[in-house]
Amino acid sequence: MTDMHSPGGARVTREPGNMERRAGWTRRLAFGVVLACGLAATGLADTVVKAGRAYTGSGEVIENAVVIIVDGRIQAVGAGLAVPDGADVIELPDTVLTPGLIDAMCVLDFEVQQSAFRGRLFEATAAAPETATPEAICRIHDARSVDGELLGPQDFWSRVAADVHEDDPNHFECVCAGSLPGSQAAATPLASAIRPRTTWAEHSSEVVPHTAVIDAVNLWSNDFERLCREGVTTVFVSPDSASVIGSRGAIVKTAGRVGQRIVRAEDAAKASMGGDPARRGRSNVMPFGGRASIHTRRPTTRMGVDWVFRKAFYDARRAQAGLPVSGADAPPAEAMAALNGILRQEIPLRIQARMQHDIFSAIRVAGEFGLPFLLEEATEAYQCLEALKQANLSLVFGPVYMDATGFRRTNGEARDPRLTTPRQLHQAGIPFALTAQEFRGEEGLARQAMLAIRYGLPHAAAFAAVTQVPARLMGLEERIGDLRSGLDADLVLWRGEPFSAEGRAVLVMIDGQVVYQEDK
Amino acid sequence: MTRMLTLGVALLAAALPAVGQVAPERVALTGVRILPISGPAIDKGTILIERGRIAAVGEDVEVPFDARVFELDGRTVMPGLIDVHTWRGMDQPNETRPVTPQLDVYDAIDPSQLFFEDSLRLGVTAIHVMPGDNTVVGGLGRVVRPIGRTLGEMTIAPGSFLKLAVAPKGGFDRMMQMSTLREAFAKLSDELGKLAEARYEEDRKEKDEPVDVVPDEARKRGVKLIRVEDLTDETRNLLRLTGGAVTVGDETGEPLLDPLGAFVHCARAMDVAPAIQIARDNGFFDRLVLVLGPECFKAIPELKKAARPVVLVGDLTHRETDPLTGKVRETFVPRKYADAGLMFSLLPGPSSSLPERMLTYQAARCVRGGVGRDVALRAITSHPAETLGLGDQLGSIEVGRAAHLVVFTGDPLDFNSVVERVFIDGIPAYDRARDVRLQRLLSFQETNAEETPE
Amino acid sequence: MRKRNSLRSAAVLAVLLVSGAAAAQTVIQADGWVKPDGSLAREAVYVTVRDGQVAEVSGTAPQGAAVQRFEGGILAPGMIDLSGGLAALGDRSEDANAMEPAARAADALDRYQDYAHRLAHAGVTAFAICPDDTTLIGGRLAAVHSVGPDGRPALLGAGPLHVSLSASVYRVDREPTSRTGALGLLRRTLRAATAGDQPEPLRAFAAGELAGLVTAPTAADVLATLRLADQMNLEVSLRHTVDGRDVAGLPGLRDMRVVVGPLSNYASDRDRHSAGALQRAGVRIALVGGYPNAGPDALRLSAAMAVRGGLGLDAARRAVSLVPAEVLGVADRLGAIEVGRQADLVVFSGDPLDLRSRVLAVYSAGRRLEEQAHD
Repeated sequence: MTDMHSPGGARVTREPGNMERRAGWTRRLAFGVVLACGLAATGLADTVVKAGRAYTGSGEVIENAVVIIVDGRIQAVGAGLAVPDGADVIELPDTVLTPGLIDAMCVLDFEVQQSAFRGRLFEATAAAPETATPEAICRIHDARSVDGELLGPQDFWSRVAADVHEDDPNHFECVCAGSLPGSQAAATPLASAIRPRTTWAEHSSEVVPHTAVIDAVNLWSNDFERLCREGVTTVFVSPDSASVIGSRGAIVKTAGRVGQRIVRAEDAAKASMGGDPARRGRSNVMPFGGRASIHTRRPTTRMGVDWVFRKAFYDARRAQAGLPVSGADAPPAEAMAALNGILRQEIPLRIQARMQHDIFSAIRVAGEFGLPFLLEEATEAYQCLEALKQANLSLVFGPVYMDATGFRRTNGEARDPRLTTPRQLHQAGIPFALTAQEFRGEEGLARQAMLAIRYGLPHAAAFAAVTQVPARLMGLEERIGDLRSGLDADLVLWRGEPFSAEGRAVLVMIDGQVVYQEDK
Repeated sequence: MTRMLTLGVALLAAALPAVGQVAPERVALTGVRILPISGPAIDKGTILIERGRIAAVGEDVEVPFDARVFELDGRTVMPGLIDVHTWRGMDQPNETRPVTPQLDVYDAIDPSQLFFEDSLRLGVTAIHVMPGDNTVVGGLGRVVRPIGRTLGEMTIAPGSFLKLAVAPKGGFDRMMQMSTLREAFAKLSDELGKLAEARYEEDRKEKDEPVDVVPDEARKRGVKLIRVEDLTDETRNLLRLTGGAVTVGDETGEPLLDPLGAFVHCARAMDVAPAIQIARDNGFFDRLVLVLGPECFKAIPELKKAARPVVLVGDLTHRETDPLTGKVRETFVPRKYADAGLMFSLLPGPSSSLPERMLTYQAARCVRGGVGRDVALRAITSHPAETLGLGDQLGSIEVGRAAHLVVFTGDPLDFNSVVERVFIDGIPAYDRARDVRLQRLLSFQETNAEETPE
Repeated sequence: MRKRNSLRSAAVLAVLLVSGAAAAQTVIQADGWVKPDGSLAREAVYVTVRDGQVAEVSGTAPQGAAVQRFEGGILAPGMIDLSGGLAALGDRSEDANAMEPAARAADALDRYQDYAHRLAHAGVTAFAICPDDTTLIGGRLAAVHSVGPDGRPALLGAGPLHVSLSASVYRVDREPTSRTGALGLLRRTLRAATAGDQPEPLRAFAAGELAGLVTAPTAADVLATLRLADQMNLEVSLRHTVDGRDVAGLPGLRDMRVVVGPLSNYASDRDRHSAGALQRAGVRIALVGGYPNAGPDALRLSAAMAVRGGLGLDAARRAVSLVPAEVLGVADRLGAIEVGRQADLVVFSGDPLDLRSRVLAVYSAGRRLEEQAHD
């Protein structure tokens, strides 16, 4: 056996021109810098959008609205502005125009991993040569779901199961009806739901702020397309709540050219209080089935969760000072840089907490290190309005529900929601954004605003809670979330009032480009 | 079984069910916007209710001095909404055995379930409780109102529909499902034939005459000798489904029982044709109602030809993945039925979905999806009433109809409108101001839980 | 003549004879040939083979040489199949650790298995052995000549370093357990390698001197690879990519090599269209057949299916010869009929992409393989 390093071997010579070109474009992609050259500028002549009425990010109304777009950005907004010569005009007089909606805590569907299954299945055959008979190939073929998507069989079943409510005795029927192998056309299960104890988080440690969800985001996911159709143009892709201090989220646009879609590749790190890290730590299940971890997951109680959080930052400080770090719950060495980044407030921190006492815990442990944070989900926020105000907290609240479903139903943290919490937060003067998290369609972000309005939140406040406020909470108020000169031209045109039951998005534009148009 | 039927019939005949909450003699709703469904809206009018029935509707209706008056200025009243097919309200939707025509939801409805309270809160005044979809022949349904402490008090009409499913029951494939279904009818005809033969033989014996014909002929001759009491429970309901009269060969006896219709569940488009066929083959096509999953819109040509009423299950959107692009295509299903001119009824979505569990929201979704407003409103009122054969009682605001009325704070399809009051058979059944559970969900502080509605 | 060690081959009893080893000169005449650019020229061609290498390609017969003539034959470069997973070949990658950069697939070459002969007789004159997808970094591939000088498979050299982003990498009992963890670990390791703190193949890879072959099934994997390659200045090709239609437009992919397949008759529309979409976006496509699970003709089946999905004919011919040679780093010796390259040649009865075409003769380094008795 020879290991050849001669020109015949696998060593390569590089073409600098080629590499530089690649380096250039992916750097834009990675750091989300939209350059007004190359990709960004091509083919974007001035566009003018005219609608019957427009709402700005604060809910202000402009009748006869005209938006002038240059190079993917809003140049001017006003009532009855003159159309510049040579501009493309999109005129839909019976529609309402709004800035694109923003979900500041979007939980994406599992699509990346489904796709990854194709690779797995291939390897599965490869691993067992004796099964590579036509029958074995047929078995693989059967693992395709009815609509031709290739899934692990268990995954498919559990997805269907997750889509059905536990108290629905019809679910068995649904499963049967939707899943006969070989049939050509059946409903596509769209379970944007998290199942209890299922996690995609890296669980070789409970403290993983050195990982980033951007590595796992499938920008081609159907989920993005769905969000886009529903008028959501920018999302914070939220990490899993299975870690005490979890990954860093990513802020991405839901459509458009890939190179421009990443607004911020590595944004806030997400910590979780309460049952999720403890519960999911105790008995993880891999989404494609099977036990997920033999790693000793230390927090099995809320006490443990608080302790791991505290110890992580304590150790990070020690590491910073060059002192040795010890103890079973010490964070991994590679997490230290990110932890210190959080301590220096260079990396924003979010903490998810649902129940009142978990919210108090979040305020307390973050307070010990003087860390400002964004409170997520906050189901029982109505029980601690004063504390929230005193701590000067902002919230990403939601979803609004009366009876919890899915994992919320089983984890016992959502037994006592209130439909009026958004109204109460508003009245208490606490800044908050609304989120739909994993919900889509009739409970998607626009519908969350619709529900909040039904239960007492003023229209303008609901409007701000899905546009201006989330933009501000993520430090992007100079880029998205409003109709102002200089902001990205992320626009949605709605037929009917945006947050009414009869309203629907008919045209969505991101960075001045039409990315969705209803075909009628 | 007989007991229940008699009870149901008795209640219907009485027209005014014996309920704990007694209807006032006369009730008047004044100053209210009226959506009668059967006719144009009346912007400001009065509805007069007498003994649970609508006595007068119009702009200039004189209110009798002794009527209990509800001044409803600025409100909108429409007919009570109808949930035309649900298994909720029962402890369990299905027996594990596949063929159970003898079962009746009467035995399983739990009047104390919160489901009824929730329905009332959302403006539903009539609920057709049916066995679930996980069955072959599931049993008899019943139309109830969401008020009353006993099933007797709740009943609006006894069951006139059997539940059938063409979509496979759990553990069955489609071939098994269909063969079990066909076998049930074959067994019925076999049993009736045997019964006829036995009756004929008995009859000859009583008359001391010999049985001198071949069995096939004996069966024909015995058809008219069968009495209702001879029938077993299983046979009884299936016989009613086929029309109520015994037929052997070309010989048909007198109608023994009232006929039943069927709600046939089809999950996929491929279920539709067999469902129609089995109804034609067994004589209940004229009383067939199809309960359709989202994909069934693909069978609209067949459905159009059959022209039977259909019920659309809660998920109104069909999604399919394009095998080439991997992209999901969505079809808003009710639009397809509306365009085809089929009479369809809507069902509430899952109870956990805050908006979709409201029938009015489902109708609003239809409007969003391009269905006419009138059609969308009829799909939650008059269409289900007609589907149930109760079109002369429910589903519209007309003189002589049962006073099932819902008062909304605004337009019913506006999501910000809420149900303020509900009248069922003239009884003021719901008052939002006294809805304790709702107030708790909506309020800052715990309300006093001891306060009860009237 | 040598007795073969397979029980199954009792009925087959193929006889392999190496005729005229290292004959001084052979001239092969065919009525058409596959040019290095992949195009099919239906014109008389005379290929002179000397010392195992192509010495001359000409339209006229060289003077005074004995010619092996194939009436109606099409001469094509020997095909190269990259799909040999270690596990499929009866071995398995060590995966107790996610990082096995020093592993060499060459160590797993079993020269006494007979699949290589079957491959060779189907026209696949070279193949790869690839570490499994279960390790994040699984070591270097091996490039193998199907039939070497002694009639058994022979190592051609070490190929690129295998990196897997497939979900098979995640394990419950070791890092990483997830995608985010896998990419984090990969980045950390490569950074350490840049600082000289890793075994040699990794250092070379991190420095961009050693090519990598990345198993990147999904669009997200492709994007992650491109980001990584960009951040670290790596030289990589991609493998097992099924979301080709999605990623085809990415400018970073242009001029890269992507290994697509296997594509059987079970391949979905989406999979079949992947190669064509990528090719139109300027990507160089290599195809795999999926031996030894699939039969030796599976490589040509993949090519035919890819053509049905929109891959150009010339690109498809390159995708089974020249491009896989590039991926393996042996393109200076294999992959095309060109003077100076090894004379791995196949004579087909028609276009190699036409599944009806039979293999009339196979030359491995200039030596003609005897026909198998049963064929």
